[in-house]
Amino acid sequence: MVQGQCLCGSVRFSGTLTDRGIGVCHCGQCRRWGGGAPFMAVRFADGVTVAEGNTLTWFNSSDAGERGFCNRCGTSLFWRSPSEDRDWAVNVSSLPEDHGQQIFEHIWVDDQPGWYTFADDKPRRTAAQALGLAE
Amino acid sequence: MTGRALSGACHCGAVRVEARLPTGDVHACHCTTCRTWSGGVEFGIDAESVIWTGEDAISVYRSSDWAERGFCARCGTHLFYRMVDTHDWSINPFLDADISGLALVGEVFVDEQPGFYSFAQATKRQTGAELEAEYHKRANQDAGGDA
Repeated sequence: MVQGQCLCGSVRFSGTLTDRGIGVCHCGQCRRWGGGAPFMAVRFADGVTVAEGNTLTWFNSSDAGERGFCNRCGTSLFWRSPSEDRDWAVNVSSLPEDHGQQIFEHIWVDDQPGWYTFADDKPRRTAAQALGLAE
Repeated sequence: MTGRALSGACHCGAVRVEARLPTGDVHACHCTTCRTWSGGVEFGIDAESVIWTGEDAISVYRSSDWAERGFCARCGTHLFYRMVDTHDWSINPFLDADISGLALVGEVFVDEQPGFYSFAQATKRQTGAELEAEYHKRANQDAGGDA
């Protein structure tokens, strides 16, 4: 069980981390939503328990998913698919720094502008590859 | 007119922005606050003549003694980082999906960067202390610097 929170502490949550590691999403929606950042997310396979009295707001960003943020400080916290509602992508930096997770893949790299590049050699997958529509 | 224009919006379209960019230089901030806020690395670009529309949808969070952060209250899109005393704007460059000609030239708070990622680009890398020293030096020069 690991606990996380937004910048101001108004959204606190807990859940069980998978051992997949950090997926880095370079899609235009993630980059715009997160303030220019590629969204670096770990997966919680069995959902997330958000403490009561929270300031979490959900936004339907596409047919494929919705995004959760703190409406007090604006921290970008979650992405989840309505069709797989136990599988949450969670902002890795909302967890304690000793999470020990490493990057395992970059996705939506066909949407990534050319002016920034990550130095690691982990797999780069296009949108079609990430969606299972191409090898 | 020098520089380039940024014309963009948040994800839901409630907030729009027009601004002038003196350069295409993007800076990445690795500080714990930026990483927590964004879910990754915060990219910002200096902007001038910034005009927002849909301001009733902008929420502002004071994240430190010296700076505040703006986001769309409806969709959560990150809009800007702003210095409280000078009102200098650093804007999310990806608000404008069609923007081109940008370059990653600097990284700051590298002393707070975790080990699990790094950029391949060669940039000017500064610790938080180095950035603060440069900021105060520039502020003193702007104030006249006769003393």
